[in-house]
Formats: sequence, structure tokens, C-alpha cells
Amino acid sequence: MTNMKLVLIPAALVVALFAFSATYGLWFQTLYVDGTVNTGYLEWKIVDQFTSDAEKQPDRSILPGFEGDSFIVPERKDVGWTDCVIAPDGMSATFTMYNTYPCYMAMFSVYFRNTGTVPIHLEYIEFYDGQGNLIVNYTYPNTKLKDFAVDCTGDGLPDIEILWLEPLGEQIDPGERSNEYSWWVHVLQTAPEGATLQYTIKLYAVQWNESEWPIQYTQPGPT
Amino acid sequence: MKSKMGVILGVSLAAVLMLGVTYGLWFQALYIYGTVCTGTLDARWSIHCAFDTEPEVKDYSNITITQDIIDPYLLHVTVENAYPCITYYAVIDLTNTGTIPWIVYEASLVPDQDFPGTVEFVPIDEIGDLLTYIGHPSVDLGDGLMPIENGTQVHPGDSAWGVLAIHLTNEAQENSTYTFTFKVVVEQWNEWPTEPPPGYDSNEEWLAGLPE
Repeated sequence: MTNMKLVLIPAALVVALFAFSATYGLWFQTLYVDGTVNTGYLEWKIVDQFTSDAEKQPDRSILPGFEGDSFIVPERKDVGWTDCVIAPDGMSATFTMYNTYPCYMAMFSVYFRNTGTVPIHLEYIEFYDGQGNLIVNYTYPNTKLKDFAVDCTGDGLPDIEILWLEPLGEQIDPGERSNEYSWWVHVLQTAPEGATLQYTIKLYAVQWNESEWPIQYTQPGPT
Repeated sequence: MKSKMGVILGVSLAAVLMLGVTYGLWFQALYIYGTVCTGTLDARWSIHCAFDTEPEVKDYSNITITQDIIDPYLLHVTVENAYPCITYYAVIDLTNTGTIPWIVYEASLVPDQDFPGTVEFVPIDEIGDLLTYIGHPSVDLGDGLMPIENGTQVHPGDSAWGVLAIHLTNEAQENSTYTFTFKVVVEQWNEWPTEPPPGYDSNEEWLAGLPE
């Protein structure tokens, strides 16, 4: 029995050694591809604004529904005025109209810049009242907007009506400045006396290839 | 006593005679000198092209693919300023630069656990359509290209091809870095495979699942 063990042990070692050498003796080569994906970022800011009655300008007027042409109030009345404050983060702008009266009209504009690294597509505009409540989410791409009314004071009655002039849907490449986005505001008969009319706008953009209204290129983009 | 001496003498004489017969035998020795020169098992990457699905007027992100400056068996694929819903492609091949056939044994593409999208090989047959789709100058790759996938056998001088496709979903975060690794092991054809790949209990099970 002892002799049997003495034979089996070396035999097992030999078999193990063969198996071991077969595994490690195999010729092979290992190759790698290391991949790194660095994402860009989406960012834009309002960089400039314009209000038509920011300083000593004669008041302008227009008929309800923006009928006809705007006109300067006779005898060059200069009692109402406007201003605009761009938020520190550049993501919104607040417009205020002081000492206005029905049919008073002002013109406003904003310009913004793509400060990110990805082309953007302007999708829609949100209007907020003076208390920060969302009052209008306006989407109307690639054509002129119709006018719409806004209740700035929260009394349930519209105070102003707005005529958005430029079509949405513009694409802005990184570093580029947008076109002018302007609108007219007409104070309605239902605006309360003694009120300061204030509203805030925010413009929303998405990366160009995920717009709901993409601009069609001759060379098709991804689906 | 005399007879003993006679026997000893006789035996000695017989022994000397036998020895003389042995040494006197005519003979010829022949030899075979053997030399075994082993071959080499080797493979190298080749880079063909890299492109993405951005139209020409919106070319703000890009993909590059480079050979490591030290390790000949390592490629670096880098996508810069990536964003969702653009697909980035890299066309590569794996050439048998050795002298014996090898077989792709373990081709494993492993994105990070939190990779927000897909990294995969798309069928090599689609490369022509892809290039046409994106407007890239066409590349004549010929027919019958072999893919870089488990079981592909490549003879010396031939290549297996792969089209790496990277696509981010909307879960991708801005200003972030994501990584992936593609590892491929090639083994000499006649000792392949040594053990079943991960996820298979036997080589037979694995082989049965390979494409025709």
C-alpha cells in the first residue's frame, strides 16, 4: 500500500505539471481600446436689453389689439417709463412699467448669447408676473406669434397685451449672439390705477438636435 | 590444475575473439540534425477613420482615435464636447502581424457602470451606408470583412474589422467624463479556447451560440 502511494504521488504531480504548462504555454496576445467621452455643456445668457421708454422719451400709444400704427401721444406727454433688470445669472429679465395708463405702449428687446459648447435651439418663452407666478408659456416656433394678454397684478383681469415680433426656432452656435427678440406691450383698459406693471421673461433652449421643431438640414441629422 | 588453466585460457581466447569481431564489424553512423524555428503570434490595431453624425454646419463635437505612443497594443478613443443623441463612430481593424493564425477569443466591450448610453460594435456591413449617410468620403473596404468578435479566425496578414459606435442618452451629464474599455484576446488557432468565456459553462455551449 505504501509503495502504491509512492507511485501515485509523483504521477499526479507529473499530470498537474503537464496541465499547468499547457495552460501557460498557450500563445496569446491581449489588446485594448481605452475610450474617454468628455461631454460638453449647454448654457446661454441674456446679455443685453432694450426698453423704448427707459429715459425721457415721449409716451407712445396704440389701439387695442395693436391695430394700426403706434403713435406718439400728442403734445409729447412724458409721464410713463420703463426699465429692465437682467438677473445676475443671465437666465431671466424683469421688465417694469411705471405710471402707465390704458393704451400706453412700449417696445422691449432682449439679446442673448450661447455661452456653452453645444449649439442651441430656442424653443419657448415663459412669462411670469411680478410675484414670480408663471402666467404664460408661449411656444410658437418658426412663425410670428399672435398677441396675448397677461395679468400682471393678479386681480383676475388682463393688464397688458403682448405682441411678440420675432419668430422662435433660431439656432445659435457656441459663442454667437442671438438676433434681436422684441415685443410690444399695450396697457389694457382693465389695468388697475396706481399699479406698477411688472413681468419677467425666461427663454428656454435645448441642444439643437433635440428640438421639437428642428431646422432641416440638407445633410440629415440623426434620428 | 592444468585443465583449469586450459579452460581459463580458452575462455579468454574466445572473449578476445568475440571482441575482435565486434570491433572489426563494418558499420556506418547516420544523423538527423533537427532545427525547430517557432513562429510568432502577434496582432496590431490599425486606425481607419472616425466620424460622428453632426451635420457639417453643426460640427462642434468630435471623436479622435490614436495609437498609444508606448504600448503598441493600446488605442485611445476620445470624444470631446459630446452631447446626447449624436453617435460617434471609430473604424478600426485588428491585423494578424504574426506568422500563425489566431482566433479572437475574448472580445469584451465594457463601458463604465454608469455610462449613460451605449458603446457597441455595429455590423461592419453597415459601414458603407454609415459613411454615405454622414457624407464622409467613401472607404473601399471590400467584401467579406470579418468582424472582431469571438470565434473569428484571422490568418497572417489578414484583418478583423470593427466599427465602434458610441451614443449618449439624455442621462448624460454636462461637463462630465465617461469611460469604457474594449479588451480583445487572440489565441493560437489550434489551442483555442483554453477555457469557456465568462458566462458559459463549457466551450461547446459558447461555440453553439457563435454566429455562423
